[in-house]
Amino acid sequence: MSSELYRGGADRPDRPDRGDQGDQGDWSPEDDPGPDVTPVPAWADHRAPGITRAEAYAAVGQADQTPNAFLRRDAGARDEPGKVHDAQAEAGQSGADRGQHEPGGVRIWEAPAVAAAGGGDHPDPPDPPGRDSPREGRPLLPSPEGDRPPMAEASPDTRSDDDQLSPAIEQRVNAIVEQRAQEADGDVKAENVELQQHPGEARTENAEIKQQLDETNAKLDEQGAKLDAILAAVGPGAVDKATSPRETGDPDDSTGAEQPEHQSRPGDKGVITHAHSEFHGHTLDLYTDGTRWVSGDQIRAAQAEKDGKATGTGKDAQAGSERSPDTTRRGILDAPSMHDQGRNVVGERPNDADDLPPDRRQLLEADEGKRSRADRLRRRVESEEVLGNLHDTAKDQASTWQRVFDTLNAKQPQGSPGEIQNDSPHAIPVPPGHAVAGDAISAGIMAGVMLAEAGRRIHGMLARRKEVE
Amino acid sequence: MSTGDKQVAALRALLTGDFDRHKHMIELLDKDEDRGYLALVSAAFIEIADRTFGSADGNAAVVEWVGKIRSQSTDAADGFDPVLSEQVILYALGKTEAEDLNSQQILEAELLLLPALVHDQGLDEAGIDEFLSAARALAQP
Repeated sequence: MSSELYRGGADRPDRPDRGDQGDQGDWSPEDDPGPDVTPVPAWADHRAPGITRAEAYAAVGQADQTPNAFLRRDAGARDEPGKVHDAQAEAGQSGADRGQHEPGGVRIWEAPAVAAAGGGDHPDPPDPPGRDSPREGRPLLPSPEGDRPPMAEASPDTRSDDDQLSPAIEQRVNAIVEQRAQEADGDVKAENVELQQHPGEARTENAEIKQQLDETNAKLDEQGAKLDAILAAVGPGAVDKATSPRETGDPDDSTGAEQPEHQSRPGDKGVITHAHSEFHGHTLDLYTDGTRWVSGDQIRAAQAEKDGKATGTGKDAQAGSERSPDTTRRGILDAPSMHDQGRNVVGERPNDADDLPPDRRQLLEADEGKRSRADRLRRRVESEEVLGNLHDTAKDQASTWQRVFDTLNAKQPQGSPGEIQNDSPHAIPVPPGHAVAGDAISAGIMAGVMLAEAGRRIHGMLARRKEVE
Repeated sequence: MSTGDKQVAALRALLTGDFDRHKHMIELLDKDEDRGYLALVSAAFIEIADRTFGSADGNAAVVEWVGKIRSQSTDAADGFDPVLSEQVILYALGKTEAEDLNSQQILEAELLLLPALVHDQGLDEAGIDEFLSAARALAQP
C-alpha cells in the first residue's frame, strides 16, 4: 500500500500539476529545501504528483512543521486551528463535521477516517465539481490507462519512518490519479463520440487529402514529362552527351553534364534551359541548351506529325498541331525526335542545312542548272527569223526603251553617292560666338525651370503673407 | 559563235540607257556575232532573273514586279505586256515552258525587260561591269 505512494514520489515532477487543487498553495522555489532550511523528511519529498508539500504536512498533521513559512500560514488559513493538525482525531467525526472542514483538500482526510471506521461508518465525501463518478470501490493507485508508463519502485529505506502516514496520502494520491484518468477517458470518449456522430466529415477530409496528393503527383508527372519532351526534342544525342562524359570519364569534354550539381546556365551544353514569355495573350516557350533553340511549337508539331502518321490522316496531324502539346510522359516519348524528322541535333552534323551556304557540289549543280537554262533560252531565240530581224528589233524598240528609261530615271531619288565629301564621320566645327540649336534648347529649358521655381516661391510667399494677415 | 567585246559593249550600251549607241553597235555585228550577242542577252537575262527572283518561292514576286514596272507610267504600261513579261521571266527561271511563245516574242521581251531589271537592281558602273562579266561567262559554250 504505501509503496504505491512512493512510486508516485519517484516520478515527482519539478512543478506539480495543480489541476483542480484550488488555492492549496502554488509551487514556488521555496518548496524545495535548501541547505539553510529546516530539513525535510523523506516522505515529504516522496509524494505523488499533484500533492504539495503543504498538503503532505497537513495530511500527517504536521502542517506547522513545514519549512516554508508561507505554506505554514496557508495550511493554517485553510483549516481551522486545532483540526488541521489532528488528523487522527478528525477521523472519528461525522461526515457532516468533516465536510465543514474540507475546504478543498478534503480528500486527504478520507483514508484515515475510513481506516479508523472500518470502511463503512462514514459516507463518502462530496465529489468535487465536474466529477461524474464516485471513487468508491476503485482500487488505490490503479493504472488508469493500460498504456501509461509504470512507475519506478522506490527503495525501501525512503519510507522507513513514515509508514504509518502513508494511507492518508496514498488515498489522496489515488484520488487525484483516478480523477485525471477519468478526465482523460472522458476526453477520449468525447472524441470517439464525435467521430461516430460525424463519420462523413472524416471521410470528406480524407478524400480532400487524397485529392491534394493526386494533384501534387500529377504536377510532378507534368514537370517530368516536360523535361522528357525537351530531351526528346533535341534528340537522343543530347541525352547521350549529357550522361556520357561521366560514364566515359573523358577529361576533355567540358559540357555542363560533367557537373550536374551546378546550376544550369545558358551556354552549358547538355543543360536545358526553359524560357517562357507571354505578350498580349500569346505565350512563347523556348528551350535551349546554350547553342540552339527549340520552341514548344516544334514539340507540338512533332507530336502532331507523329499522330498523323499513326492514324494515316493528315487531318489528325493538322488538328494535333492546334492543340496543346501532349505533356504526358508516354506521349512525349512516343513522339519522333527532332533527329528523326531531319532537324539538327546538338553535337552532330546538321541535317537541316537550309540556313547554311551551299557547298561546292551545290554550287556546281546550281551553275549547271543556270547554264542549261541559258542554253535552252538561247536555242529558243536563236532562229533564222530572229537573226534576220535583230537589227530591226533594236531600231523599233529604241523609242520604247527611251520612254521607259526616262520614266524609271524620273522615279529615282536625286543625288548620288559621289556627292559625299567625307568618307569617315567627322564633327563640324562650330564657329566661335555662334549659338547652335542645342544651346538655344538648353537655355530655354533652364529658363523655364527657373521661371517655374520662381513662380512657386512667389506663390508660397503670398500664401504665407495671407495667412499672417 | 563567240561572245566577244563587241557584244559586251553593245549590251552595256543597252543597260546604261545609251540606246543610240546600242543600235549603232548592233548594226556593226555580223551574223555570227549576232548569235553571240543573242547568247549574251539570254545569259544576262538568266543571270538578272536569278538575282531578282532567285530567293522567291512562288510566282507572286514576278507578277508583283511586272505590275510595279507597268505602274510607273503610261508608256511603261503600254510597253510591257504583262502576260508576256511574266511568262518570259518564269521561263528564264525554269518555272514554265512558255510553249505558246515564239522566238521573236521572247527576244523582244528579253530586250525590253533586261534594262528594266538591271536598272531595278541599282547597279553602278562597277556593278554593271561585274554583271556583264558573269553573263559573258555564262554565255560561253
